[in-house]
Amino acid sequence: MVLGDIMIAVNQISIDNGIIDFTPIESIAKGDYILLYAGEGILELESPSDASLDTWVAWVVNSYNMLPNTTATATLDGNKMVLTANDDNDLEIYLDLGSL
Amino acid sequence: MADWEGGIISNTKGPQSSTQNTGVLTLNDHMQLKQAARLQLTPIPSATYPDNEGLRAPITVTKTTTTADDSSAYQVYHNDFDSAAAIGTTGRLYIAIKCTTGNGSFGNFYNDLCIGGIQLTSDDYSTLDIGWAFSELTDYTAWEYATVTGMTSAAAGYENLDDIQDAASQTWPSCVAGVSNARISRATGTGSTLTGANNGISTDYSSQNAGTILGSGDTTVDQANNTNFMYTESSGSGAYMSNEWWWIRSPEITLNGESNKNISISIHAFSREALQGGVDISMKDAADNALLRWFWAT
Repeated sequence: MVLGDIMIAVNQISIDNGIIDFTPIESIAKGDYILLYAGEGILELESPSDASLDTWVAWVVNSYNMLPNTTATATLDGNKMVLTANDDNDLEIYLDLGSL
Repeated sequence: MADWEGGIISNTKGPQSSTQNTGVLTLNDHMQLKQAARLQLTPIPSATYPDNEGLRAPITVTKTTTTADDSSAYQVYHNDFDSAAAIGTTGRLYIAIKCTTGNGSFGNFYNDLCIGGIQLTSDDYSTLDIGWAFSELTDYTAWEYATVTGMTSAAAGYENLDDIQDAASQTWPSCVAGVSNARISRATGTGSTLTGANNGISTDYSSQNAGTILGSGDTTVDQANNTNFMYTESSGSGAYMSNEWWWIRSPEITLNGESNKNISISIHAFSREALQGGVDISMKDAADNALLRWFWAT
């Protein structure tokens, strides 16, 4: 999960009002990792292979929606993950990106 | 007066040849024992300062609910290094950083402790012996990290200096530029919200550059834009790294022989304010749960 020749930092990812914009990520490699907390749901994924960014974001969105008991719903908008919830408090997002 | 004492019949067994009778010492044996006793009165210099458990650097952990990497100043830890310098003029600094975050569903990812730089100075802060600013790549790669820490497996961690030095198959390669979980890493900004610094400190604090000294009155040092730091990358919900330690050591240093040294370490500790199941899962530091300890070893 790199930007140029460095690992991505979350300060390069826009997180605003339930929208996570992954566009700055240039590539996804096997072993790249995401832990996402939003809407009471905790999603933890490790990429099983190299992937294009759009494929990876779609995988993250679909995986999030398979979590039980979440209070938010994710949709895909290009390379953005859009979370919606009845309560804005459920759009609090914590994100951990890296490589395991 | 003779410089030996009478009484060559001893009630304790001394060094003997096979031809001697138990309890009977030759004059030569007796003198050897006396000499050994004298030698025992002379303290044997320790090769480690302060001891095998190290010295804690008390750290203020800033708890936050703000997701972005933090841009506030690094705190500067100062300590008298005199006793360590007196041990010997050539050695290494060792640093152990503990993963003190919880290991619940959020894993360990709030434990990105950042070090901007380290300096050894004279105790009046007039002379810089050596200064590393880890945004200077060669300052960072001059340091070495322990490859065997137990942080990526169910193996126990290595708490003290002897433990990490004696760990089976231990190696100390140069620190690697870039980021990898459970390894000392180098970056500007981290991959985790709610922990870590946005930048390092100015490269002017490096011996390679201006060599600006962090004086006794400098309890904080500002971040500098677009600079890197050394940090403890921690990710994942695996429980392995909780309550275990990252270890790094400096290159071998030859001090100038003056036993008037200070050490300063620029530290940034920023972690989520959070309880999970009633347990504080943030990074923390306490006297009985030291986040960062340092050692000097010859």
